[in-house]
Amino acid sequence: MVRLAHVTKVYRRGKEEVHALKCADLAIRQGEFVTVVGPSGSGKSTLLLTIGGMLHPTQGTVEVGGTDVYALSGRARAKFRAERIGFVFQMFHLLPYLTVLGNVLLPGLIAARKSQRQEALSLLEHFGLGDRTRHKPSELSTGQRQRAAMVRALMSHPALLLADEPTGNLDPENARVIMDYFGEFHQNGGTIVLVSHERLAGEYADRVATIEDGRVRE
Amino acid sequence: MSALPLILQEIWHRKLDFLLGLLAVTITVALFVALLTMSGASDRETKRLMRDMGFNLLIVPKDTDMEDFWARDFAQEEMPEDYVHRLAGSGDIHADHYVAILQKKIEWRGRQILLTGWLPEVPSARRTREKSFMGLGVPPGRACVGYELARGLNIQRGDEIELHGKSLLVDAVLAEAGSKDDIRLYTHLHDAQEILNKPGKINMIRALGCLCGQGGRLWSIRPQIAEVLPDTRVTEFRSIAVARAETRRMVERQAVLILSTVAIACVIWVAVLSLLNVWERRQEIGILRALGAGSGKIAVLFLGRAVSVGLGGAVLGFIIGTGLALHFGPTIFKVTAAAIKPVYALMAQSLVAAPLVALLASLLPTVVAVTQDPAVTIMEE
Ligand SMILES: Nc1ncnc2c1ncn2[C@@H]1O[C@H](COP(=O)(O)OP(=O)(O)OP(=O)(O)O)[C@@H](O)[C@H]1O
Ligand SMILES: [Mg+2]
Repeated sequence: MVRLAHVTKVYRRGKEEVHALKCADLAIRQGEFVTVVGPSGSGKSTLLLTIGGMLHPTQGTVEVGGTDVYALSGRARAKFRAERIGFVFQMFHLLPYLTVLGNVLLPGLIAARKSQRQEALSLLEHFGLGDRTRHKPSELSTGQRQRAAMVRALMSHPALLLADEPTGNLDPENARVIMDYFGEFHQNGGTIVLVSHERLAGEYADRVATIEDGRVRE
Repeated sequence: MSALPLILQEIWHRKLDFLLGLLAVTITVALFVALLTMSGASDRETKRLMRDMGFNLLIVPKDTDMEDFWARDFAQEEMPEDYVHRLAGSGDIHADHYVAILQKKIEWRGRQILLTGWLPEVPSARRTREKSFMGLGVPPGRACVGYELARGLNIQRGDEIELHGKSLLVDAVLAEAGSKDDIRLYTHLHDAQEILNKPGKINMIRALGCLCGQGGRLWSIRPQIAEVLPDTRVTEFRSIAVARAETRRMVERQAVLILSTVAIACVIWVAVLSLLNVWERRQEIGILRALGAGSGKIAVLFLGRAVSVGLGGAVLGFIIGTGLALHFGPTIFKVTAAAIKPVYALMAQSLVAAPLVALLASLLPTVVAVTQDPAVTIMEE
């Protein structure tokens, strides 16, 4: 499902160079739940965004579902993301000016899909947000925010869910709730790549890889 | 995707930013609309005035030293009386009244007086207007005496006076004018010619309510008169129309300066606000990208906001600008209040120009933000 071959990512700031990924190789099968664990600054977010077609690698190729992601044009890659990939971030990244329902409907709006209102409402209900649909993100608890972000990620029925420290800002209780939803997505056949600096996050995974100083190890 | 609800919700969320941008555009549009409305009204009214009143011209012999003329109140040089008939007979130039004048300052009974020989107006080709002119039709053998002159020399109506051998019956003593008219002695032109021993001579022509065949353009009258009377020079008397045209030109010149400064400041203002807005929302660009939005869609969201600012500012600016014009126009441009009317064409122009300018001001920050690596913004916490 996901195949990274010799992926290198170098950030350049003026003359300074940061090698965030150093010849990373990673293969993930369809339906697999892989957690990548590593310390802060090891390149986890970089890895995830590279897989998600958001960050052009300096070298190497990234394949998702058999498609060479960075061989696509920017436009085609955006469409690819809209149809195949769901993102969940540590900071939720909900748009502050939209209601929960508005945020959840946003991917459909971007992809110009026909109204997913009913589906969105029932999914929000399922995530325990049935009575929060008209609220702004700022009016939600952090756990609720992450659940809303997760509903948003699921609205496009992605084959691949990419999660960057999804429980990083949550208390253990809320973290468990979120992880249960990931487990559910996985149970239904979804592929997940989750990165975290906590070893514990590996609990739900089929497989745990580690990343250290830009190098991925199984 | 239909971006409008998103744009509107973002605007609602960041009301203050939006209002500041709106303010900038509104001020600029209001100033432009106000000035153009007022100056358009002034222009129209001036044209109407010119059509109705025409120009008041003073025609003197070509060699007249104008400095000397104004100092002495008469031209030393003379021209044939026939000139006034030529002018009146010209098909190209029309005037309500032509007056042939021979005027000199002379010594009389130990005083300086202004002797003005006045040929009752020559009928011109255009005689549609009623005789409103204060024209003093002094018949031959009669005189009208200025107030001071009459008082100083104790002259009364009906008196017989003698002027350089010519005796005249005083037809009227004029009311106090508070001007040179108070030491003036009006006679018929031919009497003055006899008194001054200048038969068939005049030294100025006044043409009142003068229009040229091409529709009353200030600058085309002079050459036309020069064609009919080559050895004369033409001066315009300050008419209301001319004074108004000058007011307009002066106000406009200052306004253009102020307006361009304000407009530039507002464009910078809008650009800075847009830059701040894009900066504040740079993470949103990353999010939208993660959700599958391409650069085009993201640009539509951001530029759509700028266009909304422009449209809102255009509407408000038009209303406020028109209000300002209606309120202050009569004072600033010295036109009658009724002359100023809303110019709806300006509304249409504002609706095109303001969003366009706002769009251009926002274009650079948006393009920079959109082309930036989205992952970088999304990783920033
Ligand atoms: N835009 C950037 N410019 C330069 N260096 C960067 C940039 N983004 C990340 N880096 C560097 O790349 C390395 C990897 O960063 P990354 O964010 O992928 O780490 P991470 O494992 O996600 O860390 P954390 O657990 O703290 O989120 C770090 O050394 C970081 O300083
Ligand atoms: Mg990270």
